[in-house]
Amino acid sequence: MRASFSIGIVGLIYSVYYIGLSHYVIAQGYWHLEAYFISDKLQLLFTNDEKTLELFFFIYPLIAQVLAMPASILGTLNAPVITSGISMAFLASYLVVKTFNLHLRFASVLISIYFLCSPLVVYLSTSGSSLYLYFILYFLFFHLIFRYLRQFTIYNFVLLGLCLGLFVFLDYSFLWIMLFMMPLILLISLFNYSGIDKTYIGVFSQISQEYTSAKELLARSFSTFLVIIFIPLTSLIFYLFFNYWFTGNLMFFDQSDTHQWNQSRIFTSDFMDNSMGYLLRMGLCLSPLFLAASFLGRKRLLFQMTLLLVPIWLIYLKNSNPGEPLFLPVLIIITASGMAAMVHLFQTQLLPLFKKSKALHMVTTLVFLITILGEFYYFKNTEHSQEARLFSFSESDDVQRISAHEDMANYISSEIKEDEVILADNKIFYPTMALTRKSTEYIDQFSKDYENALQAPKLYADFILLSNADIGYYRNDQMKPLIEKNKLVLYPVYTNSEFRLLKLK
Amino acid sequence: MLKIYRNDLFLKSGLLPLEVCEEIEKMRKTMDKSFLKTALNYAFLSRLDYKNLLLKKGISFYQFDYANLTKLNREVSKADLDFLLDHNLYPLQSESGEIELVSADPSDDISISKFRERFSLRASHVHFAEDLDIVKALHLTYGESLLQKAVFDLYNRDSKSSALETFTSKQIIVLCVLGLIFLILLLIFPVISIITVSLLINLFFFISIGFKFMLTIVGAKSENLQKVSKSELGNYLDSELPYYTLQLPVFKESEVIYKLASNLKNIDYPKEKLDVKLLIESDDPVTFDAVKNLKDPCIFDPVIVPYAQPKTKPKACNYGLYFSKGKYLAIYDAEDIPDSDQLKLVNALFHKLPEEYIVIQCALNYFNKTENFLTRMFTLEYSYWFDYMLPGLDGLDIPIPLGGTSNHFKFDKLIELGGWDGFNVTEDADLGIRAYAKGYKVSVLDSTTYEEANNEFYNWIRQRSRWIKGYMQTYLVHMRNPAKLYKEVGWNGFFGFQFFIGGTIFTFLIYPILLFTFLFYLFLKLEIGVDLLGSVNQDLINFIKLIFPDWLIIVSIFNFLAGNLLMIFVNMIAVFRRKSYNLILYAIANPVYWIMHSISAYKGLFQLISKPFYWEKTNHGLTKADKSKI
Repeated sequence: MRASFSIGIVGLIYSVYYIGLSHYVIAQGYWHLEAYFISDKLQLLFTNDEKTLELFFFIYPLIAQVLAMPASILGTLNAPVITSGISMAFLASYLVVKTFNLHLRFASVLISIYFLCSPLVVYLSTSGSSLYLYFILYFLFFHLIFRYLRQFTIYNFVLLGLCLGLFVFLDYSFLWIMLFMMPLILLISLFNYSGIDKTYIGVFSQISQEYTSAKELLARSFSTFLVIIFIPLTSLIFYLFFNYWFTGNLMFFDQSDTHQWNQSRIFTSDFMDNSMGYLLRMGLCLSPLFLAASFLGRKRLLFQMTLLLVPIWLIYLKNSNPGEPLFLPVLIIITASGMAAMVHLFQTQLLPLFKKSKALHMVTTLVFLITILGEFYYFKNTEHSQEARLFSFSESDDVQRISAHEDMANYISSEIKEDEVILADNKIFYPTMALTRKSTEYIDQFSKDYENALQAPKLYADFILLSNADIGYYRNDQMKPLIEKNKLVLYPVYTNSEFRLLKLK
Repeated sequence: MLKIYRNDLFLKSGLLPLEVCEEIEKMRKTMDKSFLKTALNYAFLSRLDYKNLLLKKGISFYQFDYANLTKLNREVSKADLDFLLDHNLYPLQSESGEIELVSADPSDDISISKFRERFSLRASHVHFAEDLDIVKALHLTYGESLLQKAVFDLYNRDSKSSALETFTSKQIIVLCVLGLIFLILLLIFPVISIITVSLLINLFFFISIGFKFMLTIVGAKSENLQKVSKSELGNYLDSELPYYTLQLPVFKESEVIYKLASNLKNIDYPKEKLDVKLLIESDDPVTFDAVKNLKDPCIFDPVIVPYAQPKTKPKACNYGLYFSKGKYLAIYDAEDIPDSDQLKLVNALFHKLPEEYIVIQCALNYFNKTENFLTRMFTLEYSYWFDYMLPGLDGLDIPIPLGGTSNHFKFDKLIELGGWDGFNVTEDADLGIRAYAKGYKVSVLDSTTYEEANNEFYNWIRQRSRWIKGYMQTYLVHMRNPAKLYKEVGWNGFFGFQFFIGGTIFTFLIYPILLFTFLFYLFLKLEIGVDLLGSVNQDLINFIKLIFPDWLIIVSIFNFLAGNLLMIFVNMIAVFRRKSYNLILYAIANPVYWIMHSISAYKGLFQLISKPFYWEKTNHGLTKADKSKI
């Protein structure tokens, strides 16, 4: 009870800090596009009667939208940012209070400072994107496996199954990690086998000579695997089933243009370094904590096998998508697992060492500093356009701090009348729409008249919002073929660096 | 009068060796019972061997006319009855006032002398009969007032806590009013009413399943917890252990009586501290004769329960309370095989727990788990119930409905609670809730009693319908005054009761309706529906969409499927504690098992109205499994 109260208070403090910081960052002109995406879909959900089903169930990641809903009471625009801030705040609070209750005062202070000034944490908590969910769920994933190694109760694997179930609605491809977990599960079952010598060789040789023991080992491993995979697998099947039932496409949520914030990667740079060298560099930036934990727990086989899942997973992803560079949604698994590993080590026989050893305190401080620097280096050198903007607002002297979307939104909200209608492609213009839906009517893929408007735009809309021809996503803009096909004569009303507003007639 | 000496009868005949006779003599002095009573009830001598010996000696047995038994012309108190039972004596008084005695032991002059001293009556003649016949005659003659109490004591003390009345008039009025309101709303706002009711049903269904799932997770946290360690057990010497009553209610159990004898011998507890009561119904000649003809010595004291309605196990157990003397009392079924150290573990746990804990529920499981599909499903169910769900309730401080057997009570508190409700067919569940309502608590212990899982479909349906009917009775009784229940058990307890007891009944009753709705909608949506029904198909779909909009259909389908999957998952988790990994895939068949539950639920509902106190007897001894593997 007391721990819960402490977590609540500390969490509240961090929440205020993160939300305040996010407002400052937004005021400086930085806003993650995914936050706009979630905000736009929330606004549509609460006002659109036609596509309620799609807007509720098939926006992906679904979990980011659902979690942002309670905060939409305070305003749909800020809901994603508030949600990410509060969620990271309570993760921070949990870790601070946990280490404090373990009488690791020094570690507790370091963790507090880390969560206040880490570039990665600041990014996750203030961006309003779904990245905070990746971090929290990755942390939870490893935290539960490590806890199982301490307690050996199926409780932890049940929660692990639930955690993976949530991943279905965040990034279903993460379920492939279960294939790599099979050897780990077998090893855990081997280690947990009662009544036998606990050295691995001894255990293995004894089991391999006894048919009953071998059978029980395999049965236990299979059962454990089944318990972990059951909920995520059935959740995924359900989700695909719902997609098929209501849209006719099993993978609608994944293939639809308008149901993810960066479908077809249209908002990230075309020319990115997808070499192994880049991956290693960026990965290493985020690895100090992971490597330190790995070193400290070097004598623990199950611990090492668990941490080994991280490089295996990264290599698997790199090999299965060779042309795609890996960014934070994947790479933060390194930091999250490192954090979970350290928390685990704090609760093992190493605890007295952590409490008393001055050398270890110095090493921990050093790791802390290297982690911060590494993260800073990452954000300075990342090729992901959204990630690269984290520090750009603080460095740039450019007076045009606001993005093209905000600029267009400002024009629309001040110049366009309430009864005038704008036709636009939602997958490109959702940020503008998110900022102006309250005052302006749009026809986009979520409107019932969209198909009709594509056939006869003049009958349905007064303006068309179009991306500029020299911008990368112009070729994906649905308004482009519309204009060409109908040979529309349009008058530019407003143009900025990326977009133009064109009047029909 | 035939003069036989004890030495001749027991020693020289070779029936009992000298050291055993000495041991019996020592025990009988401590317990103030007769020599024979001690020998027969504490597994020194078998009834069949003793009977054959007497027949060999040329003794003919007195035959009681049970329909025409008469009492003594003086008051026989409870203490007097105990004396007669402990000394195997039945006094006969003729119309002229002459006294004769029926005794079970021709060599027992001591008991006859004690009778004379106690009752100030001299017997002119002594007849001999089998001890069980004497016990039966005594209970039938003098047990009536106790029987009345056994049936009606709870009702007399607190009528609101008894299931004698199934529905109170207030409950009937409330149900009628609710039904009327619903009909009116249905007439005025048909679509909204149907949608609202559907939503409420879905919500309650989801919360009930979700609640059970949450309990399983909480229970899984304590998977490896041992409440009493081996070293703690060693702190209690045999001489310090209290008297322990075990009640074994039986009815038409000729098959299992023979196994019962050996099961009881395996209990690790000082024999002289055990007070085992075998409760036999007076109109059960099958069990009665089986006990008489037991070849092996047994450790139980038969109590013959006089005939009275309702003919239920709780009534028999209540009657048995008047003859019990242990500090703790436990109920076992005839075929049960408890862990040998269970009683010692319970004793140790009671010492560890605060005073308000008055009942300990041990885990139940099955020794014939792999016999067939039904036993496998039953084992999975019991595993998640006792290994995960009850510990989950324990962890959240929610009232625990007791299981049928292996409940261990503090005897004085059991008496204070009024014993069991003789009119409730799941008296155990009711007692657990009643204990909480009176401010007491129930805990769970990770010690197992193995039973025989029902391996036959109709037998299973009968048993399950009784359990669900009992849950309905328990729910109705404790919801007679919801505000009072809430005050007594608090927020946790009240909602736990709603979703655990009420939710269980509700989910089984509603399940077939949800299943039918799901399958029907699927049928309409798929090609088969189109082919078979043609244009009617579309009309039907349109009608359904009118009263069930898309979002509600999604919610219902999701709810239905999620509920089933959660229960499959919970059954999967259940295999871990006992390492029954070979059962895990059977968890997938849980929806089929649920349909069986639903059949039983409707049967139970029907009986709740037509014959609420009827006890569906479960047949035991059907298994072919070998219990020696336990």
